[in-house]
Amino acid sequence: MMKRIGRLLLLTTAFLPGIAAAHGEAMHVFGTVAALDNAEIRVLTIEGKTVSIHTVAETKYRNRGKSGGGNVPKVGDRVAVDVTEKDGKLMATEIQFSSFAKQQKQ
Amino acid sequence: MTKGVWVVLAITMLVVIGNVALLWHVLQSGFSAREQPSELEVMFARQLRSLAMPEAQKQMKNPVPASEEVLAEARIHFADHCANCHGNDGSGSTLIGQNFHPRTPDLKKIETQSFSDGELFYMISNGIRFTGMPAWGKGRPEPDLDSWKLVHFIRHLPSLTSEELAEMEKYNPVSQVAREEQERIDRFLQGEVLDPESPAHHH
Repeated sequence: MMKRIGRLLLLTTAFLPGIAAAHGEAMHVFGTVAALDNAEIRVLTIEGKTVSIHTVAETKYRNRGKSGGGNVPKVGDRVAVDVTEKDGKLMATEIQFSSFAKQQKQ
Repeated sequence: MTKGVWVVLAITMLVVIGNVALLWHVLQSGFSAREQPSELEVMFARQLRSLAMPEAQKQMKNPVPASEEVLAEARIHFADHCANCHGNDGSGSTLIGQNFHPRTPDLKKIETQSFSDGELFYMISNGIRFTGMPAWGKGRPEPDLDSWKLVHFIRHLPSLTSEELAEMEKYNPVSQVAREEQERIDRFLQGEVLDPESPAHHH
């Protein structure tokens, strides 16, 4: 019985860091859209850096603004981009955005 | 030696060589889930899966008549139980789904839609070994109406509307950490100034 529990503990200990590492690869980039086209979005982050993030057909877009807007962000919109790193490149899995500048004018 | 003995020896040799090749392949990949399965593995696994399904269950017809109410119920069920891996739209484009071995398939595509209702039910009910698909069923097909309703929903996935997707999001399981992160995102998108902790914020 003790041997079995020992094996279970060993297996659990061996697998847990992998699960944590896999989850740690997803992250958010907060900022404002500086430029975008069909393959890439450039974000001026809240730290003042410009980050290029690749977009693909599977990238999801969610307009979280309260003042309308389209299905994709525009230059100047605030974005929170859910990214994963693949082959040294940032890939967008989901882009949440709102036209905050537009809201301020209203 | 007789011809029969030679045939048995040849088959045994082929099995041994096959097993050695398989073992070598597994050792080379480090038993990792990172790589996509090879076409040979996919073909072999699909054949095995098909062979393992009882013919009578493959031929089963959905005992639940399709209706708007059934679809609505299954939609919520799918959002709550399945979307973590499959995504609300069934595309499999989720963090978990894209890190499985094999990757979670796009349920809208012909590879899934071409299964019979009985086959889809069997996979939901019994799960699929060596994938992330668990067995959700109750052991016998007759009382497992929830899984039959999910079969209707899977058929509906290719024509899912944006309104349906928006409704499903309300039913997705969310952890406390994810909820707090989403609240942070919402505050930022509504104009709050966030502390620039780091260029990229981990979940």
